[in-house]
Amino acid sequence: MQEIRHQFREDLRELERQVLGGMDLVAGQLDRAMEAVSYQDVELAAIVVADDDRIDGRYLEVNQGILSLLARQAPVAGDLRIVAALLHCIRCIERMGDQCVNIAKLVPLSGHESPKDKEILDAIERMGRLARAQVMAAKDALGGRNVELAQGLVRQDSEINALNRGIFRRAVEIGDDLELREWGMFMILVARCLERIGDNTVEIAEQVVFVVTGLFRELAGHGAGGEATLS
Amino acid sequence: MSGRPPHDHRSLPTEREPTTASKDPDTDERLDLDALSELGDGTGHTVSVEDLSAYYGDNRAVAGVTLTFRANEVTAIIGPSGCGKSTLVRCINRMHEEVPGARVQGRVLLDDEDVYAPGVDVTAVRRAIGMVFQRPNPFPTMSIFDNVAAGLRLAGVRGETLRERVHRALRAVGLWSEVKDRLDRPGIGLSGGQQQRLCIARTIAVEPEVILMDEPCSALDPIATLKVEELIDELKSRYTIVIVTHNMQQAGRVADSTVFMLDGSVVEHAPTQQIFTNPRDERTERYVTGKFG
Repeated sequence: MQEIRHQFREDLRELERQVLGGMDLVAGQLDRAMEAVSYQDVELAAIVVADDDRIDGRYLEVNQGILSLLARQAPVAGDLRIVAALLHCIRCIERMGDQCVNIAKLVPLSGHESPKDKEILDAIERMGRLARAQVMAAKDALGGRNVELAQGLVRQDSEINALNRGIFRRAVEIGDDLELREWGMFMILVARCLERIGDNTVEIAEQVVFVVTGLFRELAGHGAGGEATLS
Repeated sequence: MSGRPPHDHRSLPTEREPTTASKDPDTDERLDLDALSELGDGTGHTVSVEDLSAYYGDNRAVAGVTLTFRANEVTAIIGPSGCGKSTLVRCINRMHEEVPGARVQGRVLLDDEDVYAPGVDVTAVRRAIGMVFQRPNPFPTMSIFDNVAAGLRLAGVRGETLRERVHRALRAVGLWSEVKDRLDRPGIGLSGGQQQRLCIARTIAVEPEVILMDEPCSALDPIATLKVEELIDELKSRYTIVIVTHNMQQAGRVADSTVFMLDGSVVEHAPTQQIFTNPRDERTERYVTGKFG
């Protein structure tokens, strides 16, 4: 048996590389956004906002590439599943990029020398590290077609969700200092962004399972939790 | 044709009047759905192949195939050259045995009747199971009318009935408005796409129960191909259709289920959507994605 359609295969691999690279871009943006939050670094936050163009550009490139591939090569079976998954994943990547921007935009709003609550800040930083780990796990799961790793992402994501709820509770009970309460409210918003990034990595994980098995299963507890198949 | 169940038009597109034709014959192929509904009994018939093997001398082209072609469905057979797909369909209407040295083992059932049973009239089998070939093959010396009438005349149909049935078949394949003024002209004067639809009209004029198509569009241009595909989609409401095709996109477009054959055997038979999104067999996956040639 001899492999044919070399150009198609090379184009498909290149699109996948662009998507996987998109997750590296997200990880970089997330690192800087979290650093800006931790150190109240307004300039760094502005860089994060400006750099989102790179992720948006990647999104457009991959979208264009996939449209061209669909129109010219009519991929089927496993090829069709990976093409559909890449289209979905690049959308998730674009959204995660937007969440990094949302975090960065909150930095100047939360005040220069505002009082901080260590418990909340620790939890936010931990959420940031977890979200980053999930982005990288989603990348490895997709690149390696690793269903086990993809399914493991859901367990990891539940920790982010728990931290998100904890930050909310803590912020509600934070005390009477107006500035501290205001900072706490902004941290709720940051936590929400990180929680959404976690959700997007779970969506990518679902796509990995779909690519490998042909079954679409909602891995997280959200939604109906049903299973569907394309066939 | 009395006692025929009424045909349900609800699922079909709105009928258009063939006489309101535009001037360009190639853009005006309208299926006359009334004509279509008057053809065949509309109930559809199932073809089953049981442990079928077909040989050319010592060479086994089809190796123990068991398959069911469901009534009122289009089944596509795909596979690389030499996989036995054309031979398989030629066994269904007993055309394979016309090749010198060819023989068949196993059974082919049209509903419950074995088409290979002793005493079965081969001509009757071929009338019940019509065939459309790769290249349009109108009878070269015959007019458009006579091409469609040929099979009917063999069956003893004459006079007004003959004329009506020829017209109805031409309307059913969407050719009527294009040829109604030149029915006495040679069939080979038509374009390739029109000739192929003429051959389909010839096939359905004798009101078969099953239509076999062996690469019916491989000699046609893309527009003519799409017209024939549209016709196939309409015909399946009356007939059971088996189509052999090299064109996987065509199988994807027209077939309800798809059979993948390799080396004379069936690798996978599944709903077309499954074959093209999530085939169960690795060999099907490799073939449809072009991973081997």
